[in-house]
Amino acid sequence: MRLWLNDLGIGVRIALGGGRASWRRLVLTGVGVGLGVAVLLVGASAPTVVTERQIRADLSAVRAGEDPIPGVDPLYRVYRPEQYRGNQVMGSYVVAGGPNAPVPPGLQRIPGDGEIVLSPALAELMASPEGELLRRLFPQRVVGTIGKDGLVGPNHLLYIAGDSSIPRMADTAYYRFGRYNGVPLSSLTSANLLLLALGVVVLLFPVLLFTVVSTRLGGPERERRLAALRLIGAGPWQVRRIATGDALASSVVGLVLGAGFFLLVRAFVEHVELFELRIFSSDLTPSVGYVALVAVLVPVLSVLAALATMRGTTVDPLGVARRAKPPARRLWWRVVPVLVGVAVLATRERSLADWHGSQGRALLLGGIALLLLGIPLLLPWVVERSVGRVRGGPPSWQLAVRGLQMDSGSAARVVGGVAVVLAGGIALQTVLLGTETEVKSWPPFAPVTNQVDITVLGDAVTRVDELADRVRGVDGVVSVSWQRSFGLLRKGGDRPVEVGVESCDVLLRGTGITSCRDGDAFVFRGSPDDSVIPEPGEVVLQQRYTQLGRMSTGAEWTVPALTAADRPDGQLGYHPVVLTPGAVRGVGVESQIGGLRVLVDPAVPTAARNARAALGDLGWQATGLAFDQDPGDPTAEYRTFRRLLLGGTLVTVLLAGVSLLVLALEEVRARRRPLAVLAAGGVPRGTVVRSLLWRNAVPLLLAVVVAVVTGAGLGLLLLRSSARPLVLDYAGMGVLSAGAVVMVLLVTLCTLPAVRRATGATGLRVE
Amino acid sequence: MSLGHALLGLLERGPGHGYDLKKAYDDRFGQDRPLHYGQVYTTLSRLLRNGLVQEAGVEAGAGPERKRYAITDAGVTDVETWLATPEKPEPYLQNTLYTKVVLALLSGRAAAGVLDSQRAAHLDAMRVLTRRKTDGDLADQLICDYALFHLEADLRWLELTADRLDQLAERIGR
Amino acid sequence: MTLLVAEDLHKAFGPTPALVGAGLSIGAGEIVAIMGPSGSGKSTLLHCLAGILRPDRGTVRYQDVDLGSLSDGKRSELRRTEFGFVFQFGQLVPELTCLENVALPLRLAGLKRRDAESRAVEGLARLEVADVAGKRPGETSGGQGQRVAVARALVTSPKVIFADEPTGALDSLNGERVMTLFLGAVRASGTAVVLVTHEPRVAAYADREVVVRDGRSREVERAG
Repeated sequence: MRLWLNDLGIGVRIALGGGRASWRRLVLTGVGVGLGVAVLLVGASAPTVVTERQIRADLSAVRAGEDPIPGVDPLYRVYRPEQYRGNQVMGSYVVAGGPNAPVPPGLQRIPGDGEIVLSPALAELMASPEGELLRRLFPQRVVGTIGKDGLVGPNHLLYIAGDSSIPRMADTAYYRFGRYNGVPLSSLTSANLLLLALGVVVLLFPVLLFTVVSTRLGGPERERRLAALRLIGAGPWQVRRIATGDALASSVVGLVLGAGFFLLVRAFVEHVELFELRIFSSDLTPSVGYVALVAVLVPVLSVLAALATMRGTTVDPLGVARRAKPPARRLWWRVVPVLVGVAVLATRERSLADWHGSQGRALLLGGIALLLLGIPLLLPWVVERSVGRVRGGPPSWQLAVRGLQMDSGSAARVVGGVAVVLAGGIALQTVLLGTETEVKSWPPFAPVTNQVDITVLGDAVTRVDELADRVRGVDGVVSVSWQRSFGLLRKGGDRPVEVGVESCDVLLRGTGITSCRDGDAFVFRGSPDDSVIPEPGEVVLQQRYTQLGRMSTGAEWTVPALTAADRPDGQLGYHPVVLTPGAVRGVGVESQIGGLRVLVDPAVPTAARNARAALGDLGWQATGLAFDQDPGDPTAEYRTFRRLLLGGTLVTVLLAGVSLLVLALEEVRARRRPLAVLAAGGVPRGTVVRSLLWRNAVPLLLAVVVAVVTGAGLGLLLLRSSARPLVLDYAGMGVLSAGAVVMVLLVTLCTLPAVRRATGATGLRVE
Repeated sequence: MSLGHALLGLLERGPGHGYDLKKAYDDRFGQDRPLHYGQVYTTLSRLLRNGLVQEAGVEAGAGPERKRYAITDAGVTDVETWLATPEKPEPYLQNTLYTKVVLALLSGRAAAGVLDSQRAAHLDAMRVLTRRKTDGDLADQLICDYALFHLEADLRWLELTADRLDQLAERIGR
Repeated sequence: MTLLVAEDLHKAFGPTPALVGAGLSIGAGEIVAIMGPSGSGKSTLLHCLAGILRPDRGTVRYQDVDLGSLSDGKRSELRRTEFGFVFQFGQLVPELTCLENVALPLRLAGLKRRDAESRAVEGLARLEVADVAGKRPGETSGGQGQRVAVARALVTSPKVIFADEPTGALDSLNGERVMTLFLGAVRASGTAVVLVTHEPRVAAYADREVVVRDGRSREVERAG
């Protein structure tokens, strides 16, 4: 045992041993492994990020109309979202109904009348020049900042304003914040979790692969050292242990550097917005279990990789002999994982049709993992077979193909990781496209860019015509129309009638009505729904609009005398009963709702915001909605996932590129002499570069083919599992494949300086 | 080298006349200095006297001498003993070349010149031998190689000495 | 007729001078040995003569063309078409078979594969290594590998062959065999050879020799 430790120690000493070459190797390995480890740690933090965000979203969740809780005073609250420059500004006006009213998460106390607390992101936006109009919307005194508990992410735009004028009634009373009756309000369905898990498998496995590949950097140098050790009498097993120590040391250096990179990322993550998403540093925390897994997996795999590469070579005292011709790769055991994966997925037809079902999810995930992880096993065989038969071609092609025929393994191993990323990416794109295709059958959303609707509530309803005049004066506003309405329910009826309020001017101009005085009331009969219209003098019930758009029954009201008229065309005809403002007496303002429809000139980009800001002093009594964004885009959730996955894929592909580049540089270094001799003999540098390009490109192109086939197949199997339309994302595949091609070109381009150096005369010098 | 042993060695292949022996010897060993008939007969008669060869009949023919000689058992033993005895390596510690160089240094003349002209002479000789070897048969190649390796050894010494001339001058001048 | 002339060559690698005023001239079909101790600048001189290295000072003229005035690409082309190279080791592309290695320069010159390979077969036969045509360099012996390398250097019928310690990694017998076949072939085709070696026995194959010492070259004067 002591001897073993001693051997390991020698290995560590070799890894850390001085000399510029060995330091260069250590740094290269450390950075390569470190980058991978950092990405792994970020990936390991993904579940924390998602759950923490969800937990905080649940913390702030509320439900109106709850039964009062004994001992708790109500918090009266009106939710008033705004849209500002395409950003969703969320927030509410509140007033405490007593000293024991619940305090919203993230706040120290409930803001008093005329006070406001802002999220840091909103405060920043309001302080900036772009926030000028927001400042007019929220003129209240800022008394604090909303803490992390109240926010989903650092870029959450949220305000909570105190306003004592909020109507205090059952509709606006809230007794607690947090999950409602323990039912998660979360929209994370099992299918989405599946996508997330798939993403993690797809993205992190290749990272692990690259990380392990990185520990094998500088192979030939390492082997020469080992040979030297054999010469002074180390046994073959001793050499293996020494190699293990060497691999351990480099992977530990990589782990330490990786932890450093991760902490660096964590420190800056709040300032980086990726795809409209920002996360708190504290959310980016991997669980202890994952950290332990990474800390164990990386060294163990790198040791296994070290031993596996030594399998094909014999370290002799006089050097390293590679077996001249390795035995041809056998297919049967390489296809087993893929076949099992396909079999599992094929039996899961419709198992995901219920988007919330969790049945068989583990099995499905297992199938996906087997299928994807089978690719790196299959690829070396594919490359070997495809290249093995090729003959002829121009010299550069011949050089590359012959090289691959002699050793296709290392190339295939590197591109294996790329293939997994590509296949996973294609599968995900296919699934997401299938989802979108389904969702597309829903009514299409056409953005309206020249219209703002402002809803008016409370006392302001009685002044809605004045408010319209005020907005008319705003620059860029083309026209403003207003409306005001309330609902009435006949006793014993089940459907209310909508009663509009219009001035005599409008009625005289737009209808067949010939005489009108303030206080008159009109009725337009003739629709199939005439039964809901009450008779004059009938006592009916007022309907109230609540926060959630529901109607609730209010006080009684006596219908005044109604003059019958012909139903006018256009918007006026929408309401079967129309009152002049003087006739509305006795209807509570809380029962009424007003609205301004503002048409703006699209050429004046600030028009919509200015129109909204003109009513800034109304506070909770007005809320604006621009229709340039789809508020309820059903694909939004998938878009977020796709962004996350795309971001992850980008990082992984980048890492793959770095990994490929490092290996390509190593290759050039190792083949310095043959390259120099070729150049000395007058072989044009272009031929040499082209041969390197082919050498990088051929395995990668094969990997792309395998990835496209596997990824599309996997996507189709998954769509079948979820009973969704089978559609292939040709564009996505094209983009990903093109990305791979670009990567090869870039990698080859980056090796050019090294090739240039190698093909100079110094490469000819005898070492 | 002993001519007697050489003749005995040649006779081991089979009996022959004195003339055959001279021809065989000249072909293999005597390129530079052919044997005289006299030398052959003197040596043969000495071998006969010592019982190492015997007469194996007389042949009628055109040659001046028709006696055929064959090797005896004692002669075979003698050849074996001779071959098995290692030659004494000759160190050539005091050859002319060395003397010339040292003298050149002692007398203040340019030793480098001595070395260079010697070097050219050696290489010329080597070139001749190389060419002869290229055109010749195996025996030629063997004998040329023998000379080439010796000349090469001299040349290497010359090169080494050229590199050490300064050192040598310092020591000798002291 | 003088084929290749170098005059007053200077070349330094960083602070280390490798050549300080070396020169050489070689006629068509002539075989010149460059001799000298290790580190004397022999190989650097050869690299300058072949246009692989650009000297810091001095000129190399091949058939009255100043190599220094040629672009990198032009010099590459010159090496490919007019020169041939034999090095001590590691000059064959390990992935290609011996036949493909020999055919490579012809293919770079634009010959069709079939034609190039049939000429390569002849070349291998001339060097008596036709039997290794299908093998990779790693599967041949050192002597066979060097003969394949010589066949490759000869296959384009160059005017000059640059050989840097062509027998350096071989034993005497194999070295002699390589030299005999090599020299036989170049003498038959009238190719000039610049032969860098530190072995007098190898230098003896040449018509004359040039000694490089401390970056300076010296023609060896003939005795008599």
